[in-house]
Amino acid sequence: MRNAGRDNFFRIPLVKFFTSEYLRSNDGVQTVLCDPVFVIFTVKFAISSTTMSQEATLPPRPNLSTPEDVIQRAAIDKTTRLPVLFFFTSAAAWLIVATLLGLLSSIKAFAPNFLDWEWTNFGRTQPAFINALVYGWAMQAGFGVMIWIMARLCRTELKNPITVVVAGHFWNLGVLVGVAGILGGYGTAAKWLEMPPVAWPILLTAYLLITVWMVIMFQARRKGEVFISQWYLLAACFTFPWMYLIANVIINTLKGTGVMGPAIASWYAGNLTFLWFAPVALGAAYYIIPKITGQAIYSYQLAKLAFWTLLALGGWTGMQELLGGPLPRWMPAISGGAQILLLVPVIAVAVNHFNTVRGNHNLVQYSATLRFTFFGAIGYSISCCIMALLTTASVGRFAQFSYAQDAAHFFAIYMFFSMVMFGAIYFIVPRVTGCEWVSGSRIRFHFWFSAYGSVAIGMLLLASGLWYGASIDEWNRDMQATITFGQGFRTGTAVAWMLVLVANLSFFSHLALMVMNKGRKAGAPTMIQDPEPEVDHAELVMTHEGAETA
Amino acid sequence: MESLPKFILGLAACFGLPAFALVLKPYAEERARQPIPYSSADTHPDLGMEVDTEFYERPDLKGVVYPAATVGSKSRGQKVYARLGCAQCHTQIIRVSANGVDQFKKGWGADQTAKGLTETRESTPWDYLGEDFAMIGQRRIGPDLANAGYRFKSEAELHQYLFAPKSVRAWSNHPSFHSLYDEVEIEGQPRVDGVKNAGIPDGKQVVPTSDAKALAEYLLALRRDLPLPISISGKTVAEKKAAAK
Repeated sequence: MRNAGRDNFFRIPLVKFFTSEYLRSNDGVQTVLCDPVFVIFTVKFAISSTTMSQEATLPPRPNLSTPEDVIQRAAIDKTTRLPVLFFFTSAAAWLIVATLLGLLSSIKAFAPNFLDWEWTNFGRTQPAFINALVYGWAMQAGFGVMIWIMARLCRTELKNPITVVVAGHFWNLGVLVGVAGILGGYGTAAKWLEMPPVAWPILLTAYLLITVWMVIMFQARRKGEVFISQWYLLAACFTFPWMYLIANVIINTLKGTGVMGPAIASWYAGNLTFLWFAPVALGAAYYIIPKITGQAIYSYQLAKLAFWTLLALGGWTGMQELLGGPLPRWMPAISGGAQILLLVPVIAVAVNHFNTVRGNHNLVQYSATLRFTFFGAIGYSISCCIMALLTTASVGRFAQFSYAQDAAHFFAIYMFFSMVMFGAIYFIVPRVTGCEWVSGSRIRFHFWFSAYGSVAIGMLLLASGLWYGASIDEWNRDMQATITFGQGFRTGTAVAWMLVLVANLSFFSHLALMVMNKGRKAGAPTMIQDPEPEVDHAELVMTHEGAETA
Repeated sequence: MESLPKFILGLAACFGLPAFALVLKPYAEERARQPIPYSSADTHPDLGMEVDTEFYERPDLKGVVYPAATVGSKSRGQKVYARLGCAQCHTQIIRVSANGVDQFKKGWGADQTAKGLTETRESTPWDYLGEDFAMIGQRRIGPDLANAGYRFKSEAELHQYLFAPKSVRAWSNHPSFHSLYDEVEIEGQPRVDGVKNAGIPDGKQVVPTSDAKALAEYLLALRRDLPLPISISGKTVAEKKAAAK
């Protein structure tokens, strides 16, 4: 179905080589990697691509896309459509709730009498915000992305989408009970586990019912190479139940934790970041970046190294938050060490991603998916560097128990994880709904407001945290001086939250239009800017009837 | 890493080791922790050393066990503390001086007029012994409360601060917890536990609920400054002698 206009995009040599025809043939990366000749050629090509002129021409690849592939992919998308859209819409709705709570808590931090009800106090809106953000938005967006990518890469249909949707409802019920419980004054003091104890069995059961299908899909996969994305997503399926079960059983059921309670909660928060958020987002990024740029992952060995070092180190993180506290000294020390060593997989991933996009950086101008994903990939490096910095004893004494810790978590959840999820959602939703995003300018609006807003919130929290901590760390400084100076940072954070709120409202309405089937019915994928030349590297959208809308 | 069982095995190793070393084993040890008796020549099971009677022969510590058994109201006050979200802004931890100035911070120990010389003992696991969940806290937006019992002169002062914080300190960012207090008509004599300077019309009075009383009792009982043999700032005589050599 190629037409003359589409040939414009062959002007970019790399794309010409890995044409979308070729990628479309067999789920993109899969083909690229299954062909040993191609792998050798790719590595050689990747090395030489820096010096290659833009004018270079390469032989056109044959069209390997068989009608069976197109039909199969459409059939897979048809089975994942309902759960994926369910998770994305409920995640986006929870994101609005979380953003409102975040805005409210940041206002309450400097104006305690604003909306003077018991449930609006900082002590309740702050944990409600983080729980809504983590369990409501982030994890649900992750579920949707996991299901879709897993089904596509395993080339299997989701056998029982209804069960997943029912489990998704239970998950939402659990989050609702938890967040309402925190606001109503039934919460606990455990970090990221503030939900009343009744919520965790609901969430855990729902999680198992959702992810068991991914394991089943993986087992039923078409034989062949298993991709790094699949390993990442599969790892995420298994890690969460373990850490969530251990932390909740000890803190909420066995109790009597004494000083180990907050230590376990901190450990859980660190584990959730590095053993769930990081694998899911990296799994999505490893799928999406090669898809959009049309290049194979730069180094598979590096990807595997990064994967296993992340998993081996991630479980040790978290307890550095109690540095100098009443724990055996080796516990925060080993957590801090693991946190710093995590820079190894972080750098490996950054090198891999950077080199995969290399030569195609201009695509970031046009492709919404790539722009969000690439921003998120940079956010991963930045947030891990900040976490490593806050771990060191010299900075940690100011950063401990300060907003700087919130900044690190916010960077990890928002600047990294959420941005990658936005990118994946912009990629997936057209494929499952069969229509394109309504407006590129609205995506651009969402991107810039999210990017500015989240960076501003993170930087303000970081700066205020370090300054605040340093101020408290003077033995004779009165609290008055500390608190009055901190007011400015608080006000700035609230303003930045409004940017994020506007961005997320726009995102939610855009997504709602897509879900209600009000997207553009035909044409090329929606670009952030009108491309010149016209680029379309992503695989074409398949409607669930199996036809291409190109 | 081509088969699922192998992969799960690798994953279990990656996750199981830290889960065991950082969580399960220390938690089991925490559950087995025993209070420290003062004035005892017995070898303490946790400390593995003889508690030095010479150092601890303070008259007020005779026959004391640290920490003393928690009274019911203390843990009820802690529940109120938890559900109000106090731990979001207040810590209860004195870090060792290598990791912060906490041990010398003015007003964070027993001596409220400290001049930077008095050393507050750093927090030890015994300070939180028997608590369901130690309120170490997530942020230090307000002052540390590890030794809050020394800071407030009376329960009345504390209630005034909890109900109308700005009447005590105009610059305070502390929220006011109205739900912990009842507004009642004064009938005859005003109640003695009424909150002063509550900023409400004449003829009415603000009185603390039982939750407020439990919370106040909990906060006023926060005194974690007794010297302990395990702490750096509470070394035994034998250790001090050894260090001096």
